[in-house]
Amino acid sequence: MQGKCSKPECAAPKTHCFDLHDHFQECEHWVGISSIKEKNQQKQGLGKSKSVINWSGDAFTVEEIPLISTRNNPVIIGLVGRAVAGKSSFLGMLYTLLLNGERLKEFNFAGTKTTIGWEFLAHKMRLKRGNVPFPDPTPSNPNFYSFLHLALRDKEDRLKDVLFTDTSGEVFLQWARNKEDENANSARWIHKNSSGFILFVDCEALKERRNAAKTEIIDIAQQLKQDLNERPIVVVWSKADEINNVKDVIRTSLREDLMEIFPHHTEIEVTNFSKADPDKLCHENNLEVVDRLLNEVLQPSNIEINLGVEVTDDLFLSYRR
Amino acid sequence: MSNKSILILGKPHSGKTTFVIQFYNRLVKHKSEIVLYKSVENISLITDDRERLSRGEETQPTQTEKYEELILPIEYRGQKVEYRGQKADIKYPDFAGEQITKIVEQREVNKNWNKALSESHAWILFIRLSSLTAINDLSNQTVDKETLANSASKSLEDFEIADQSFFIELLQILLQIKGYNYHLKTDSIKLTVVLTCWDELHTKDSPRLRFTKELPLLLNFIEANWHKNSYRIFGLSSQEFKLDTQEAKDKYLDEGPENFGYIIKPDESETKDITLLISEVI
Repeated sequence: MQGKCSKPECAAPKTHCFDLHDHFQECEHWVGISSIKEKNQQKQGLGKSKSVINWSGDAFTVEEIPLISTRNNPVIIGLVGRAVAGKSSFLGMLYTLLLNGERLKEFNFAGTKTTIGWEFLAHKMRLKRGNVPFPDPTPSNPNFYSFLHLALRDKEDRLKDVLFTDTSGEVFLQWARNKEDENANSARWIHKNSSGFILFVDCEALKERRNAAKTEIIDIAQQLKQDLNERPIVVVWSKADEINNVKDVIRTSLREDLMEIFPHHTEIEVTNFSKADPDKLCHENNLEVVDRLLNEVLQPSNIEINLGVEVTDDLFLSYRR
Repeated sequence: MSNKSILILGKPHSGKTTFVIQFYNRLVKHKSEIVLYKSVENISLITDDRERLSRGEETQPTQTEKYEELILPIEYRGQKVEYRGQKADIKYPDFAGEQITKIVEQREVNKNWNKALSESHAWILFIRLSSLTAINDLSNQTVDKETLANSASKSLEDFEIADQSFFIELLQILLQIKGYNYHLKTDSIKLTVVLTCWDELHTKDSPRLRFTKELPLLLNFIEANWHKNSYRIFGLSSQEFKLDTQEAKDKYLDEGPENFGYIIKPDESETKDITLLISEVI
């Protein structure tokens, strides 16, 4: 299903088809990846472009992961949460903070193959005449899930590639209610392949829809717990500028339930609205989420290797320098 | 000894033309440790602007149809004995700088660029800080949520990537063409970032500090991909001051353009010898 819409005003496949086709391929403006490749090859044949820049800068589709995975084993961070819980905004804010000079504690930014994808999200965090157009909800097309890439270098200059998933929240609810739901492909993929998870708890939804919102979060958490096998989880209380407006009883019981489901999870509050500069919830915590998760995913296992050195009379085996 | 190849890169209107004229003027008037080891094949690209500058007038934006390549064949004849006689070609693979934008936006690299990149040993990236677009967003502005209540604009009409993202993407593409191994920091391609039109900034900051303030992620990217000794950041004012008063014009007319211009070195010292930008990467 790879390709692009040729209509300038349509951002498919990132959004629904502008002409309201259920399947992009049905739209006359859709240009499949094979046509794009063909066009590129023709261009090369004409000698206009000898070098192949093998990435578009857009968010990766699952088929594009090998662009990274051939050079490194990427860490995939699954962003999990109901619709409009702030998953895409979290990513937009993350890149915006990096652009403004905030840094991850343990890593240097060494590049990204999805610059345009990040910019697409960051663009929505930018102020225009007092307005911020927050990212549109990621389309609920079950086949649509994308990845935002960061190349990082640790203190020893080792390269780490990280992919953050970006997918629709509706899919997670369907998946939470029925793991095998035919429309929950992306949720299943993310659950199966991620090295760590960010579970979004939407404070605004908890404030407004109270127990109904809490139930959805718990449903998703319960499904996430299955086959988790100690993969780390950071629970992000998003839109935390509203956290004090969430009823105590909801907040406390949700915390208790989540602690029971994930006894070792980390909890971090984030917001996109700073009250001061610097603001802990906005400027520090958004990056702290990534720091914590990468720290847990990448920490070496504590298994001590038994070298099995034995005392022997055999001169050959006893050889030491 | 094989010739080194130094590429000058920069967006349109980033100060490439004024620099090359001032550089060339110093070379032909023997005011540098660098000399031309043979004559420049095609100097017509800068002839008009060179005359303008000698009359005390500002250079004109380079016409975008000027896709031609400019090559200056230079040789080091300075104090450092070990480098004396080292030759290099300074190349502007695309004088107008339009191709740079094309590389990022249309993801096309033409034959000239490919060839120039594969032969290059050093890149000099010109960035004019005063022409970059300031961005206000939720991470650098404290905004009351209520004032955003009428948020309605979801248009992507004016979608344009941030300058930092542009330069990062450009360098990534160039590194890819050069066959860079991302597992290692590079020391085979020397990178010089030149913050041009330094006089416009009215700053006492060092070039590095100014760069950190204005383009922190780009600096982070460079630090993560180049060895510490393989990249440097300079401030450059090729013209030294604006030529918008009669007094300023008179200085140029009386003393000649080659006596003006300065660079701020990475150690924060200032020198009039703008050719140092080049001699240090030979």
